[in-house]
Amino acid sequence: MSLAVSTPPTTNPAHSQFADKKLGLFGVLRSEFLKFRTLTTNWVMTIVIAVVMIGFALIMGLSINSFMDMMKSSAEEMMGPGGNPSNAVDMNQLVDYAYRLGGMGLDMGNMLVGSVAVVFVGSEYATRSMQTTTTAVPRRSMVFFAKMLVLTIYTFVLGFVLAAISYWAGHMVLYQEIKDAATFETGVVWNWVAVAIYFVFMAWMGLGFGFLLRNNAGGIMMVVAIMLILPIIFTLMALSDWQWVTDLSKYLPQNLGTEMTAYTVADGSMKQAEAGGWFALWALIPALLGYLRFRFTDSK
Amino acid sequence: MLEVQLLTKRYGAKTAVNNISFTVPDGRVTGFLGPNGAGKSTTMRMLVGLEKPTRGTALVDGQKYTSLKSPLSSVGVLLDAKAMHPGRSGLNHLRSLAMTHGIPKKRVDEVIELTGLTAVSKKKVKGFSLGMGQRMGIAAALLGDPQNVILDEPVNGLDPEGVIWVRNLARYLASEGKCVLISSHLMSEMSQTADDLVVIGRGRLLANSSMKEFLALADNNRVLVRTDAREEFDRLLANRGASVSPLETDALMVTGVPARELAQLALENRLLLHELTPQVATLEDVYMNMTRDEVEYNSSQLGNVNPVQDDAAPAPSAESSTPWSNASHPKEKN
Repeated sequence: MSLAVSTPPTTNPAHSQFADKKLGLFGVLRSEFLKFRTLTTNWVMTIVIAVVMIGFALIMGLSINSFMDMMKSSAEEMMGPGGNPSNAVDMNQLVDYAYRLGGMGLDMGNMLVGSVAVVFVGSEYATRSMQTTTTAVPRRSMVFFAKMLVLTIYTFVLGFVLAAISYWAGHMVLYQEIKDAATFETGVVWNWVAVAIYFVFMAWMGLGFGFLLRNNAGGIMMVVAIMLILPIIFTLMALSDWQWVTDLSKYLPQNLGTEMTAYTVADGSMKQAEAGGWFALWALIPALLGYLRFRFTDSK
Repeated sequence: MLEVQLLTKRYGAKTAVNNISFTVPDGRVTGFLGPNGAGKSTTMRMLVGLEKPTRGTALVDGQKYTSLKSPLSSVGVLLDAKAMHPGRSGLNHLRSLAMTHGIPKKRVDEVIELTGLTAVSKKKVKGFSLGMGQRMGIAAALLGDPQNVILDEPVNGLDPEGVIWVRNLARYLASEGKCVLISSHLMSEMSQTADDLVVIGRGRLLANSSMKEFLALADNNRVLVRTDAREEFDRLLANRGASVSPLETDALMVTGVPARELAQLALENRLLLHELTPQVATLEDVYMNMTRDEVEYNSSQLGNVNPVQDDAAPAPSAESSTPWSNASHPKEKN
């Protein structure tokens, strides 16, 4: 370690050789991308999400086949010999399921995506590296939006790609009869986009809780509470015949996510865009609260 | 240049930093001293915008840190050696910081080489020792070739070579016209590194002066005398009205009489002196005396083996010059 050799004297001793290198959003964005992709945890979680999404699509594909078998056997019993059970199969319903194969793993994958976002922020607090981040980039809004943008791009691309792979994986195991009926349509691509947006909303929610609670376990717990525990509580409460519970349960993020990624809109259900709008609120409110805490309170 | 003006930070009822003001000029190393919990780190954190002052301002080259256009080239800061993600390599940690300002990768390699971390830079930070973490933290602080450098306890965990290297680094940066603020609990190290000192205790400013002026605060008028005729010499001194306390079996600690006069007195009375040592206070002595009542956390006494006496400062007693004492007193033997 030789100072004289390693740090060449500057011509102006009172001036940094990098004084012209300004802090900028693009640089912070590149930095956050580097930080995201250089953590093994994120790659492991990506693989786990992929396994869940594709795995659920395969299971659902096989379930659609079983469903068709069940319809046929029920029809055979009802019609007796000589009838054509294929006529009794509700092919539209099966085709609808087939078109939604890309998002079949969402009920489990959603929490994993949220957890990736929580950990992306929470681990910086846990390791105190947030202090280094906010020292290098004292403009907190820049850090927040760079992280948000990184997660948005990552989750959108991941959601879209996994939805497409899951769709084709699930499609492969379908009976030929169902495949013939479920010919590829542009709507399927839009369904993948909806899955990608669902992923993005989960990332925003996770990001928000990460910044708000500054703690991995707390943030993940909040995501699980909202996406898993809250629907269970509402389901139990619905048994008590309270109408408001039924009315309100439509606005739970898990139900909104299902509506948002529906292929065809059922009677009395929300349209995908409307459901998406409500779901966005569930994502943006924690994100806003997280931003306010990050922006206006002391860094840990 | 770093400027702190009437800076106050409160956490609820507790005041961590209380109305302090000081300036850290360019071209000098300023030591920042204070007991644990005195508010040093809080002050440093306010300088780099990690915490908002309750009152007052903390400025870097006349601007708030948060409004700087190029923070990394304005201030290089090491506050916590372990403030890195353990799952990321040191190289990527530095690259992520450099990218925020568009600092070239070449500079990252340069600071890695400068801090002696080339061999381990691609390893994950979780495998780093405290010393390696400190070096990585210093590398991050130097990344933007900053005009101002803030180092909080930079020699913690460093080996002797690293300690000397940090000292030389601080001196080198100051010689380049940069402003260096450095905190440490190693007084001997600080006395060799700093030009100026800022001392705080319980959040209050206790001293802000050059090292020379600070050391001059000490009461350096005591002389240790060893003689075979202690009782006789003690009587002579008592007749002159000098303040004398006996030490060990053959020594006296004389206050208020210069060494030359003591030698003269002994000569006139044909007494043999075999040690005559003016007691020169060290930075540690002055610091300990100044902050004695300002410590937040008091250690318990270790009975007879505790080398530091309550009244050791400003000038140490002979008991403090035991083999395990940290105090080092230049001796003038006559």
